[in-house]
Amino acid sequence: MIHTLPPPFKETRSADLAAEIAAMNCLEECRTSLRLAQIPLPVPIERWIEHPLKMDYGIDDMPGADGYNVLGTKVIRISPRILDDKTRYRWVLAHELGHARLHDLKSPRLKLDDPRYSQLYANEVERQANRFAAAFLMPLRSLVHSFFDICRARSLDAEHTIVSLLTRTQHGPELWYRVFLPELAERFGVNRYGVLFRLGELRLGDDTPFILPRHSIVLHQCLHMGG
Amino acid sequence: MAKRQPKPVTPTEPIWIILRRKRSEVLKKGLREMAAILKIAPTHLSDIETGKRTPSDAVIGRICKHYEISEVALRAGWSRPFSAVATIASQDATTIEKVPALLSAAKTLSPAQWDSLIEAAHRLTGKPKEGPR
Repeated sequence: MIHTLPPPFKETRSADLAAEIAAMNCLEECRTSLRLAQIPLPVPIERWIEHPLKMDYGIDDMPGADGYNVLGTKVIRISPRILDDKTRYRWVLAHELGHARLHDLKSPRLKLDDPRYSQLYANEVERQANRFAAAFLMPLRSLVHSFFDICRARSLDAEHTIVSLLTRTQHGPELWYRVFLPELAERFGVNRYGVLFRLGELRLGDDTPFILPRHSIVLHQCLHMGG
Repeated sequence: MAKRQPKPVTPTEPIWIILRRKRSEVLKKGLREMAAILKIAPTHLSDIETGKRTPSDAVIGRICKHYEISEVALRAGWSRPFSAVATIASQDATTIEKVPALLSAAKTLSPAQWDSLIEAAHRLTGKPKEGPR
């Protein structure tokens, strides 16, 4: 069983730490059960959710939702509306798997008609399921290795590039927007908002964000404008 | 000493559970991937695998081929006879009257007894014995 995040990452928010640890253990369970040397990318969630994770997975019409998990059970259903949107489908599957792994009937849920339901940061159960989805689809070690792989593939100096990405430099947002967001999204089978969510939530040893919040805001604006 | 007649194998689980497990654990295919192979919508396959829907004859044929499960086992699982049964049972007034009576009388026969009955029918009609399906 895994109990902590690999350095240099650290998470002081208990709900986020629980989601991160649960996702890492879930991935490790799949890897060992299938006797794999390493976790393949993109994580084959559609197959793994049934075997070896043994979820009761199916497709079902549901008004106003992309998917659901019957809390306290292994039942996961996905709306047919999202089947053709590959990245959204993968994210929703991982999100519902997060509910199945982390929550039960005693979990503090907001009702669907609660005005705060769609507010991510007010809705801890949904936020935790998203953190699980991000951690499951973008495993930490693979994420870190990916930065170096992308630098190597693009003949970029890794040290210089990563400093540019993580600090307030002129080229940082451009590098994120043109190179790293699209390549990370492709590699992990998520969309660019998913990558941003993942990176924006990661914390380092001294509890500082992994990427500058300012970068995150600029990138969100860029994506919104036509990314 | 009398030899015991072999009993037909009856699966202990619903056929859709067997199908789902075979797809995910043996064939190692995702739901959408297998639906594409079977040329049906993922929703359709999900309905089959959750017992909400019985597949058509054409889909049963494709499941038989891609899952390597006999058509007889699939049809038994869904209580769906071959279409020849309905055709023969309704071909004329005699079969409409007699087929239900015959089936009712024969419903507890063992496979070997069925074979004997079929042979007897061939003798009566003078037709040569057909090979296995």
